[in-house]
Amino acid sequence: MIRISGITKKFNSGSIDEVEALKEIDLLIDRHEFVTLIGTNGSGKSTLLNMVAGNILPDQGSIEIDGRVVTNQKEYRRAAYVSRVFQNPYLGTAPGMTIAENLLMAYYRGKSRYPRISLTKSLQELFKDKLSILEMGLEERLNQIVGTLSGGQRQAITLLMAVLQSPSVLLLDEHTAALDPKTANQVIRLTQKFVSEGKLTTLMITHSMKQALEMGDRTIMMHHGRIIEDIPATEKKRLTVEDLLAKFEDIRKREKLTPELVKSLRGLYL
Amino acid sequence: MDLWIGALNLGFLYAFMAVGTFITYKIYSFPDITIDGTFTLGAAVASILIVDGWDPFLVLPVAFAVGSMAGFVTGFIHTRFKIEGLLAGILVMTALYSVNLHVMGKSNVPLLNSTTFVTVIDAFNPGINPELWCAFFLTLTMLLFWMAISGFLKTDIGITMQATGNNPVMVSAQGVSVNAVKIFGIALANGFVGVSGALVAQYQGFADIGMGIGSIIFSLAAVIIGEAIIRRRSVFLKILGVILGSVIFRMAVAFALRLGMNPNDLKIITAIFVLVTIITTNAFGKNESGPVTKFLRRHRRWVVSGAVGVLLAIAAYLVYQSVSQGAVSAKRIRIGMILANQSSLMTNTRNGFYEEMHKLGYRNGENCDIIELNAEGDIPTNKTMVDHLLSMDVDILVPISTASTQAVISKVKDKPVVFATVADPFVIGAGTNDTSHMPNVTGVYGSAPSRELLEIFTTMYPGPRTIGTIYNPAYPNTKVNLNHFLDALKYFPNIKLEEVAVSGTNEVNQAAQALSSKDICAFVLINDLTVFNSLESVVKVSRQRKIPIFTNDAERLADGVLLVYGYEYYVSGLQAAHLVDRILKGENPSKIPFEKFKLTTYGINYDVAKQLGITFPESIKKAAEAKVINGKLTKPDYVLPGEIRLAKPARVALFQINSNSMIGLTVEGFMEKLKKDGVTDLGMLTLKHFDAHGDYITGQTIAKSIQTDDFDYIVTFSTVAMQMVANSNKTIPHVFCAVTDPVRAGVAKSLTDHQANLTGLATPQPVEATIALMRKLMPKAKRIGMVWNTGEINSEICTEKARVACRKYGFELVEKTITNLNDLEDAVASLRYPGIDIFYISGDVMISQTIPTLAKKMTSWNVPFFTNTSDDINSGTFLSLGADYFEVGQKAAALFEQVLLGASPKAIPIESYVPMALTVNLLLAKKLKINIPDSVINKAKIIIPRR
Ligand SMILES: Nc1ncnc2c1ncn2[C@@H]1O[C@H](COP(=O)(O)OP(=O)(O)OP(=O)(O)O)[C@@H](O)[C@H]1O
Ligand SMILES: [Mg+2]
Repeated sequence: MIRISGITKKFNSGSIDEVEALKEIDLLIDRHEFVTLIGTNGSGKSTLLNMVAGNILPDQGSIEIDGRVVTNQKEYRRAAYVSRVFQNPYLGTAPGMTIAENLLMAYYRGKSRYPRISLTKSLQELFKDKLSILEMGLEERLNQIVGTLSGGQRQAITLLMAVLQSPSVLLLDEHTAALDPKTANQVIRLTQKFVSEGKLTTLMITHSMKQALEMGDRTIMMHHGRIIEDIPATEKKRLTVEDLLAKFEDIRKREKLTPELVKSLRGLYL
Repeated sequence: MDLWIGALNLGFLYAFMAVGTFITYKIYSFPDITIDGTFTLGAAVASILIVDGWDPFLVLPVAFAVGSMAGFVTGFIHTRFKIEGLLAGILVMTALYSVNLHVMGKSNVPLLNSTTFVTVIDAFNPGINPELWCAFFLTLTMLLFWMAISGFLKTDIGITMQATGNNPVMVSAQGVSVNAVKIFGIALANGFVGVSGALVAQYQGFADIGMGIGSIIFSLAAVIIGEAIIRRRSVFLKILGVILGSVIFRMAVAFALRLGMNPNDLKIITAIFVLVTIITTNAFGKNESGPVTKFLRRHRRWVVSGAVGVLLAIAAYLVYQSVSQGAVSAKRIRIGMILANQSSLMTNTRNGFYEEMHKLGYRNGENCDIIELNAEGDIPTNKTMVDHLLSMDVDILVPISTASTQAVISKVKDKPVVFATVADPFVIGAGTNDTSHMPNVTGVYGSAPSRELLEIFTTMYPGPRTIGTIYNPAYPNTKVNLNHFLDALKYFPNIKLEEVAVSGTNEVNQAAQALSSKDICAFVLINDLTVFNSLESVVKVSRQRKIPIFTNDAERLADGVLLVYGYEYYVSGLQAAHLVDRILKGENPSKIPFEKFKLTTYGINYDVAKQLGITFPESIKKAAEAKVINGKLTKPDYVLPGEIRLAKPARVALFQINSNSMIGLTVEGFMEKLKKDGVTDLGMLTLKHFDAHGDYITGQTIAKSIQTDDFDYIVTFSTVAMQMVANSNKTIPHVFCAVTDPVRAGVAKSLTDHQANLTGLATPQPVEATIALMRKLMPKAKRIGMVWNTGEINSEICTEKARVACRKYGFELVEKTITNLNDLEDAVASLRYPGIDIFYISGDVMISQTIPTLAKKMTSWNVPFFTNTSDDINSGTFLSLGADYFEVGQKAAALFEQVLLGASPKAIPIESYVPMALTVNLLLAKKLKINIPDSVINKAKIIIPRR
């Protein structure tokens, strides 16, 4: 469960570059709920996600995860129950280390590390099993340097690392945006598999209208630092991409969106 | 052979540091400059504890701990305050410099006589070459260290560290505090660096404040070399590469020495070496497609094996050569010389050494080989050079400078060592005094003659003064010189010292500026490499603010200083050559006492004086031996007053009739100079002192007995003593001093034409100058009263001069004569009526004994009392203008040394020598209502009341 209440964030506060990225956001995501997040460029999606992850701290408001107030907790401390996959496939893994060593880092996520050698045969077997789920043949290349793998393979490993120690919350920030469509599909399938099998509370940002509708229990739409639409599961099932676009039109009518914006949304999502 | 093993050992010890750098630089991509300070910190802490009696192995964890703390601080300010890593390192390194100085308390801590890991290991030596034995242990240690550190990097923490360096965003997302891991790693790395410092200090036998300088470059070189030779991902192989890199680097230094390369060029070779390795590494790594890189990549296996093969072949050849060299002993004498750096101190000593060796019949390259090495300021290189010289099987080692000497004596126990230009050999453990020292070591030493320089300063600037000095406490010799200087200052309560410490040449100008604003009257610079390397910046301030520079470095006279008084380091070399000669001729070094430097130069710069608007007093003009006039430097030839090696023991009679203050000072000056020159320490000279205590008859008897008692030399103090001896003695060499006029006294026709067996100093009383001064101070005075002993020729001479001067300056001279002291009281009383304005005694030895009584009487009469012995001021006179007899005595001693060395007195002209000294009592001046102008006060050497 994630409870976000009254979160406000300004960047470059007081200067001419001041940006109000988030404005009084309230949001409750239930346990095991899978939420997709869409919105215009610069609407504050990544900022919101980073705030949950802990590498941006809010100006106002509070964040609760599974009943714990984590508003000002450091990122590495939150990592014990929050894990994430970045848009950039190169950020999620250490390129100079082997696949096994990268997995070891995730294996001890949020735990203390001691001067002992844990990368034993049995642990390597475990890693092999997990890697075989990816269906990329990586289980045979445990001691290969990650830097030599493709972006899709690295993103798949990052995803595996994120769910290796079943986190309370999984955060995905356009994690397929930098991949070619085929690999993107593969990663999306894996995502669905991991989320449903682990019953993970998930917040996923996407730029694909189709993904937004097909995946998850609920879709949230952001604009200018505000949540402007919250589509529950029941309504979502009935919606088509056209309906969604009609919704944008609707918003425009309620003068929440300018015609240019609708145009830009069409361009983005169709 | 020792050369290579020594290089191997050094490489091993430095490998701890290189591994530290591997952690920071390769794992974290953080070139950690802190290690320059941490290395020294480890060495400093270890040395201090070892001197304190700690176990040499127990100090290693302590060194690790303090090193880690330093690393922690760097890591903390880097992560917590987001200060760039390079800057954080520089900050901590700079701070550590002060910390290290405080830890050591001085800039150099010797471990020569302490238990170090080397001595502990050597205790179990079954009898093999100690260096090899040490190498054996270090190889084992290295194996353990290699396994331990590689194993550690394989643990969860080790992998976390590597991942942190590789991708901090990722590890942070995996719940790792990047800052904590970074701090931990930097602390760990610095811990190893501290251990490295502690080991190197023990191995080389001392810790030195400068030993860490350049560590980062060396470490980076080792890491890069290691990476180039072993390009594998396994951490085991990576760490092995770093250790090998460290060894190879030290081997390269040894190799360059072997080739006879100037170690100065080593720096550029290192740079090129590292650059080339990086370029070829990149050629292997990147997917570039030039024909060369392609070729290299395709044939990488062959290229690498080829390079390794060539290296091995060279190594094998060298080992073969050093082994076979040891076997072939068709040899001429080999002398190994080590200089610490290129400063003029070192090079002058070296030049003197070469020249004198040549004179002594050693022809470099013909009948002997002098192998000269220069460490160019790099402390560990000294050690490698010692190994190199030993591998060449030199017969004798000549280290020049403290650092080189330290390196030599900590290693060499079975070959003779003659050091030169060392300020204090006792501090570095070469011995406890001149005669009791390491059995294979002797040499030439001395710290700068500060007291003499201050003495000259007070002659020019009498009265209370403030002087300024600048120094860099980091140089070992500077600390010694400074302490010496501060000791000397205690004799000059009138002088106040303002001091500024600097840590580099760039701070010297600022320091000089700061001092100049403190109202100092002169810069008095002690010998200090930093300050002398940037003397120009002091000279600039000197010119702007018209503040003269005095210094102990005789070499710098032409460089804008006003006055120098210091050792000629050239002569240190000459002396060292003689010691080497004695040892090569079979003398045992343990029997040869340490020698002090023997020749000082006293120089003045007229050009600077002109610029600053200063005029030298006459006495200084006369005394100075070296002069700069219109940009031209004139210097006397080097005469080694020293080489005093008497073929047979000599007996010397010192003879004085009276013991008044003037004679007392002369004798004191004489003895001090002999002592300073080491003449009295030779054990060959028997000095017998005769004093007639004012009785002429006794004096005559003594004079006779001296001639019959088989004395080899006679030295007399005062005219009468000279006459008594000279009368009947025409054979025994005789040196006289404290004589007013030897021509009038009958021993000479002129200064050059004199009785054949004697020579000496003529020190006439400055009678005319005194009477001129009387006129200046007392324009209305009419009558001068004077009492003198008709039996004394110098008294007569002075009176005669007084008569002439009185006419010139319009005084009436009232003379009373006596023949013994019983008549004195009546004679003086008879002056009361008709009354006198001034009372004057000059050059009369007998009457001078009663100065205190006479002074009391004159004070009660309200009559100013003038004399010509400056020291009389302490007995109550009003004004005394005379020679400084202490200096007269010293000069006489120098003359005597020449005679002792075999110079014929006949050939030495009598010298007229009056080092003038004015003293005045201002209390009396007030009482007598005499106005003394500042121009006079400023010249005064002693002023009563003392300020
Ligand atoms: N560190 C920062 N400093 C200053 N401004 C920032 C920072 N991070 C985000 N912003 C600004 O805050 C606003 C919201 O940015 P955010 O990255 O959350 O948008 P987004 O919805 O993720 O956009 P996109 O769809 O392009 O990823 C933008 O205007 C952005 O420029
Ligand atoms: Mg974004």
